[in-house]
Amino acid sequence: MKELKFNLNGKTISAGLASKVDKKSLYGYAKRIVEKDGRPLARGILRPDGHLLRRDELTTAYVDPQGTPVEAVVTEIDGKPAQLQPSSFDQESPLTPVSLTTLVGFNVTDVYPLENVTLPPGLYQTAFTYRKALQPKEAFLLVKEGEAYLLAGRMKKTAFVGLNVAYEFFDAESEPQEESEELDFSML
Amino acid sequence: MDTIHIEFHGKSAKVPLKWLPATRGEVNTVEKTSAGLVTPLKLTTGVNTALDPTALKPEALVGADPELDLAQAGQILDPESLSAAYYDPADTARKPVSDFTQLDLVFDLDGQEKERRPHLTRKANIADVYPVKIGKRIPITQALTQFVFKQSYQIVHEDGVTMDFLFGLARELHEKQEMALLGAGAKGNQPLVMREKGSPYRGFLYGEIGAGPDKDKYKLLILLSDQELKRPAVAPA
Repeated sequence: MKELKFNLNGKTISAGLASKVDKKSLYGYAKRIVEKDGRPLARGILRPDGHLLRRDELTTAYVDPQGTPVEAVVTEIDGKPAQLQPSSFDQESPLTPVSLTTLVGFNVTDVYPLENVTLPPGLYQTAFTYRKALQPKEAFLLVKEGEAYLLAGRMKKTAFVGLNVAYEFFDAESEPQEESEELDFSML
Repeated sequence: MDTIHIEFHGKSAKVPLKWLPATRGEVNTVEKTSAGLVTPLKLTTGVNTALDPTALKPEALVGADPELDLAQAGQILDPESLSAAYYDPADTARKPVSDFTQLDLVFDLDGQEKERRPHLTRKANIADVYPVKIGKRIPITQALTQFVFKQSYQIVHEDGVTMDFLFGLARELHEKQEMALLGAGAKGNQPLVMREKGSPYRGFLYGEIGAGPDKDKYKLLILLSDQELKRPAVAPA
């Protein structure tokens, strides 16, 4: 298990990062296949001349306007050479306690369980990048009683809205509601 | 997907559903050399597909390059002219096959196939003839710590009547500090599918009423989840 280091009010806090948890690891998965008369088919790429290429017969090359880069390729952000940020395993990431409702509007892309977290329950804002990256992802540590998670993703901007414009509105028949059973998350 | 048909206290309305901008802008990167921008190009690799690599003997690879078909390598392809096609891997002529069947194989946690069914193509169901219904309420803290929310949208009004409708809904959730489970379909118990051929999500409604300069304003968000916040079950030893 890899170790992450955080900094909360000048104090270093360590935690072990467990393997990423995704939908597949919790519920299984569905895979689409294509077959004819019971024989599975493979997917290929059809050229205009009717020739069908296997996927390993195709690749992508990155070239400059002269056909091929003969010198090192430089990545720029806003016209300036971009600097790779170190991985979160190679530096301490600052932690800021925030209200739990800060999570509203945060679109999670990655979930990692954390081990040996000594923080009190709550939500802590930080940043995370598994590997070196141009920009770390926005992230939160969600510490619950007995378990903790690192949630990485993208924060979305929301706004309060006031009086405005014109539109349609109509009544609808109210149907008797069935008591819903247990929430099913294995929607494969 | 820019409208949701939603029901609250026996009344329903079709109201705009908005994508939300990111708080932090995208990093716009360019890759270049002194000659100019670097761009991707589709090329043929020149892999000899007539060969079974597992049948090759080491001396064959030492003496020559039978795994390569250099006459086929490096051809530039226009991505616009390419399309996907299916073929029988046992067919050496590799002809496109038509009239095929698409299936979904469903695997359990151990990777065992548990179901084989016709491929499921889901239809968007949030602006259907049946409004999305508001169901079970969950305390905000419980919802935010129990589910992984992967997408968010904001519901807004288009006139004073729909504003009253949405404001009332947001206020009820705000005052009770609850989030409401949303359900689609005739019975209001189906997961939400936001767009054609989209994935199913459990939808939760979050409401908030503003204070100070935002007094008399509201915020009504749909948060989508397809995953509980938990660890995978540990297999018994």
